[in-house]
Amino acid sequence: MAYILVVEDSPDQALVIAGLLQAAGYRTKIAENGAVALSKMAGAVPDLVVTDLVMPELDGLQLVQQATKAYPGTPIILVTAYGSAEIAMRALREGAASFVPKDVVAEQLVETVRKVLELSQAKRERQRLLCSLIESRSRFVLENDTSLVPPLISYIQETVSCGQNKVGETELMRVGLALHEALINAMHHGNLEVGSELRRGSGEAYRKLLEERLQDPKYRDRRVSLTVEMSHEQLKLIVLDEGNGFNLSAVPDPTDAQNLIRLSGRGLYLIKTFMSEAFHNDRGNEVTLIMRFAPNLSTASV
Amino acid sequence: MTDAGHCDLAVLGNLEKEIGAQMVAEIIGAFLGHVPGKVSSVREGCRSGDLEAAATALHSIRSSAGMIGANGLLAVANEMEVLARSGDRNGLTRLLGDLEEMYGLSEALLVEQRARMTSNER
Repeated sequence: MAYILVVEDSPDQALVIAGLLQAAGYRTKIAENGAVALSKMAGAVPDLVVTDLVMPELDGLQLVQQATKAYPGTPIILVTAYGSAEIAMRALREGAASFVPKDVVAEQLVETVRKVLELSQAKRERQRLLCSLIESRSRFVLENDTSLVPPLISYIQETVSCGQNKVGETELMRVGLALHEALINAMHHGNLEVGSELRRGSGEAYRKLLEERLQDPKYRDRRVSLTVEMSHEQLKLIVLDEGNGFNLSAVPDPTDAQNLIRLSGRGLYLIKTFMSEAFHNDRGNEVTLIMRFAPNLSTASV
Repeated sequence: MTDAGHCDLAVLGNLEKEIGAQMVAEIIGAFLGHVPGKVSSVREGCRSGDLEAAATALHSIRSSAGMIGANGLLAVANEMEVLARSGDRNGLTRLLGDLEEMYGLSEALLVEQRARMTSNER
């Protein structure tokens, strides 16, 4: 039976919400404001939170801001009164999962809760499954579409963080940033052959040439391949483009701090700094990024 | 409205079907315990000129009234909240009597409904 925390300062409204949820088979507890809710969450993390927005002490928006950081797996549904649209929009942007207007709470709350819980439980099950992942190898072949980069990185971060490795938030962020640099380099500089020197000034020339090359089949049809190999010892990412490669010796030494302010080579500097190891093939169209994990006692003994 | 004019009894009826008479009786009890304090806050806000406090109390009354179908109270509270947020103290004070009257009507009907629910339980 899912446990739902109801956060509402009006006792009668709290009872309506809790009553509807209990009748639908959920276990509920009531907190009269956001501060009490956070303290109850610290004791027992609920499967879902239903919260009012306007409350004394810590209001619904502040609760969303704090709870989504501390308990990212717990979805929050807002119960909104007429005239709260603006603050509700902000709360949704801050991470709330959905909202139900107060005047239709009897008709819509349970259905909304059921839907959000289903999605969140499916996500949690997937996380649990991923936690059993010991080793994997996958390969993605991407068009030169940079909008694919963030979801791909997020997928890899999720897989790595749930695996049997001891990977901290900082390492995850660094893997993400390094891979982002490598993929954008492969698309823009490798496949589309647009040099970073064009970024100087407004960057208009850089953007214009990118747009032109994205229309030209000679460049457009090239692909970027990303191979991801994960074990309990390391994460290995191989990014290969179909461009002509580049002369590595012509790139300013990325480990020289003086070159940090230069536009070219900055990506390489980040990659070399963030990863345990990073190297190119001779042609310069393939980069291998390696992140080694700290030994994990539970798997090392297996 | 299946009503007493100011209340939509269908809202209470639906809640009763969904969550049972005993729970709705508890909700009515909580409403009757909670809203008078908010009406007092509105009165105090009108007197002192603290319109923000009045608006917050009216927001709460409006939401509570809406959830149990006290539509007359909801309408007055709604109008008064707009006045409070726009800083119209005179307009707000002018409607204070309507708010108190509408609460009184709602209270009488809700007490009656609660008695019916609890007697059915027995």
